[in-house]
Amino acid sequence: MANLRKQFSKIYDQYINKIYRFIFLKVSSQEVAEDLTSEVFIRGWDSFRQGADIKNIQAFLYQIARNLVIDHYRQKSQVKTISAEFVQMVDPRLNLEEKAKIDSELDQVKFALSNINEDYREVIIWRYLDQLSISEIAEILDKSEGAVRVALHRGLKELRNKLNTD
Amino acid sequence: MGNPSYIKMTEKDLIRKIRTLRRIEPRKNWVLLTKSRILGQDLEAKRSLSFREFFRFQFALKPAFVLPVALLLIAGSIFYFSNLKDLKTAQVEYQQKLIQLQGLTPALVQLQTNISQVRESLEKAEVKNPKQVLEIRKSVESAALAGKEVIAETKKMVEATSPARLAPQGEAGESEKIAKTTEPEAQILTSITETEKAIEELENSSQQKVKETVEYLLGEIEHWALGEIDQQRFEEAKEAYRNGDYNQALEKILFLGY
Repeated sequence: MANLRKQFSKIYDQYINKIYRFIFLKVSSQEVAEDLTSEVFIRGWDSFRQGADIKNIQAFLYQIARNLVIDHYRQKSQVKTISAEFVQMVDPRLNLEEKAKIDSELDQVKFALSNINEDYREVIIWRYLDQLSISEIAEILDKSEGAVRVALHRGLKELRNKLNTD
Repeated sequence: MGNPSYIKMTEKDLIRKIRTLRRIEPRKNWVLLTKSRILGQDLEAKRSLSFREFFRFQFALKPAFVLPVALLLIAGSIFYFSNLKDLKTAQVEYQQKLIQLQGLTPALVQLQTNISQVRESLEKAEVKNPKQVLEIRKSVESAALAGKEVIAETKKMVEATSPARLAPQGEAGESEKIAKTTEPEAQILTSITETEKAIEELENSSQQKVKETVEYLLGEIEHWALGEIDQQRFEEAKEAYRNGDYNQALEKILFLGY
């Protein structure tokens, strides 16, 4: 069991930021993102220690995350709220102008991303933020690699349009 | 109305913009505490599960075995509860808690590094730049809050570990083997003390910087011609300074002109 715990500890360290960010970009609330991310890893750990046949832990965790977000909106019928606290503590070494510029850019992209098709948003996050390969994304979504490429292309186009018009 | 800067945005620019979202990260102390909670739950769950399975097995026995099994169960229960720690449970529990504690040591080291960075920035901040001082003061508050949260949780874990270490063991001499504070515990206790000290020093330095900034600004603004409302705010700032509330004084000064 100690060995399993050690292995899962590494998995946790490797994916916690990615899963949190993935969920946060869908729910736009720090509190909800923290709750759902905890739940992802609790479920992940339960399956892991019970010896479930997990072929790809990354795909497995993202699938739990996706389902939890869907359940969250289905059960609570919650309206998306924007939390002002989503960015980590400001790096004090940045001067205020630099900080303002970065925050503004981040807010713009985040807003634009939250307004594109959900399926496109997911593939963009996985491909460009988490740097997953096309085949890995295809595995998570259970789709063909071609379908993922199309979604990615359309997603970028839609995002660019949103950034142009916002 | 479109933003002209995006019209010629290349895919590379777009991807660079998407990557700014990498700055979204969970709170570090939340990450550590959640990990500790998730991986720490396991022992309790395992213990209650095996107990449930044991009872399920008993009820499945044939009637002929019920009486001896019931007696065995009663005797077993008495033995179990009176010698709970003899069943090596305490030792297993202690090992689990030690693993949790060891997992928190790098977190405390990281916390100390963050505190040092904030402190470095604080030292560089100039009293002539009150907005910068205010910004860093906020960082100090966040760092101190996060640090105290981690320390409180770590202390709880150390306290929870001690009874497990000191619990009587089944075999003679075993309790002696682990009665002394072990290295991971000693390390974590040292880290806690150092972190607490670092936080306290950081808070004091921050307060001192805010005080110096307010003193500088009060001296400067004294010579300005202020409107009625600003004059009122300035008086309130001076009052806050006299009362030792330097944060309040700084905020009031920064409101002048709005």
